[in-house]
Amino acid sequence: MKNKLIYILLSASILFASSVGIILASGDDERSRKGSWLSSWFDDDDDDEHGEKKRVKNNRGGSPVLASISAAPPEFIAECGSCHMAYQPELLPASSWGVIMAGLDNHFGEDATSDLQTHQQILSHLNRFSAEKSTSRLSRRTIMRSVGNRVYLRISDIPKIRHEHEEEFSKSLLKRKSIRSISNCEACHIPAPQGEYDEDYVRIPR
Amino acid sequence: MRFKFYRKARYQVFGFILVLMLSLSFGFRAQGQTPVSSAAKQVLESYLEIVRQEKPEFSGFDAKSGERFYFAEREHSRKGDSRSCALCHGDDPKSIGQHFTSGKMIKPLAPAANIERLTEVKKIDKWFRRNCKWTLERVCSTEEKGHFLTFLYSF
Ligand code: HEC
Ligand code: HEC
Ligand code: HEC
Repeated sequence: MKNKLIYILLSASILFASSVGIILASGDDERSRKGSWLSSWFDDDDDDEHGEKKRVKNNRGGSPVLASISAAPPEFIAECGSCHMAYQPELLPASSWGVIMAGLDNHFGEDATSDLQTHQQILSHLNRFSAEKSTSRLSRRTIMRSVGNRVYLRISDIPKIRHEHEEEFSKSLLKRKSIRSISNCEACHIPAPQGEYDEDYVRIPR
Repeated sequence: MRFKFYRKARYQVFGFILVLMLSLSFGFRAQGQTPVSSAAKQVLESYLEIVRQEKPEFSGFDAKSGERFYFAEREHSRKGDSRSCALCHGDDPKSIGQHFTSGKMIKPLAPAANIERLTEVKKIDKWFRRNCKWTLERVCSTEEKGHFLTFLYSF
């Protein structure tokens, strides 16, 4: 009787242990995609790169998180979001996007060209939601009022945006490894990939 | 007496489960030494063929040469800064890297740490083209690329 109980316990434990082994092993395959709960024990810092899980709220000015976000084709995120965050179309007028897209073979010292079909898809996404077509406060008040007739290749060069960041430049925060560049919007604007740039959500990393 | 026995048995079973769990999970993890993706296999085979056309005696790609290539620093002719693959992909291809210019985090390059890596021929070609140009101001040779991918699979 006693022996029987021990055998039952033993076989149950073997089953349990092997299934745990299998879950751990298969968790390996999934961790970069989903970060399964088990393998996340073994992972330190995998998926907080985009701050996706952080809170996002519509800003109080009544403008929702930028309209292009939900319409962004995966090609746009994959191509324009690999070397830096995928800056939303609302951040520059179509004239700027046109020049940027025409010069991808020497894009800030990088080769950012892609195949023709992807290129067209990205260009039409950028044109569809560009700053002058957007009703967001950020596009209308901050960007369009500031650009005038000039064609900026950097969002961070637009006078009003530059002005917002004067302090950051003067404190040479950009030398910090965690920031490195003013183009690294999401380092300080945690929900930037969701189109939220309100100062309420700014946090300067150390 | 009866009670004591059960307590002992309970501890034994507990210990057994622990040992089994540990050994099995380690066993599975070790066994799961990142399989080479079909895209990478295809790429590596075609590289080998190309290299063998020029060097029939070529013995195959090796991780050590790939590692040397990964860390090799080269001064940029115009910018004067020192560049290497490790500059953006980090000293450990298994951990997160950071884009040297923009500061963006880059997911690990080694498939052992990121199974999405090296799974698409087009993507592998594209990034070799871009990154070799930026880092070395030239294309990478077929041999260099073969060693490099072999290095990434050595984790
Ligand atoms: C191969 C890498 C790479 C790819 C791909 C890439 N970029 Fe860039 N981009 C850069 C670098 C490097 C900078 C300069 C960043 C800096 O100075 O910190 C930059 C800067 C920019 C800026 C200016 C940011 C600012 O400071 O305001 C814009 C806008 C931009 N890129 C748009 C795009 C678009 C659109 C795409 C997709 C077609 C794209 N990028 C794809 C590397 C890339
Ligand atoms: C070094 C950190 C840092 C980086 C990098 C950064 N910002 Fe900012 N940004 C700030 C701070 C801090 C403020 C708030 C300034 C203030 O309090 O007036 C701000 C303000 C703004 C504002 C005005 C927000 C409002 O509510 O009025 C906009 C728009 C903006 N940033 C866009 C961007 C964009 C786009 C990028 C990337 C191209 C970027 N920022 C990169 C720190 C940063
Ligand atoms: C300036 C920064 C930078 C440097 C230097 C750099 N890379 Fe990259 N590399 C990137 C980025 C960004 C990606 C795309 C990241 C992503 O998809 O998340 C990438 C991706 C790759 C990939 C694609 C892997 C895949 O997903 O299939 C390969 C291969 C690669 N790099 C090889 C190299 C080699 C070889 C060197 C050195 C000659 C190098 N890189 C140097 C930034 C860099």
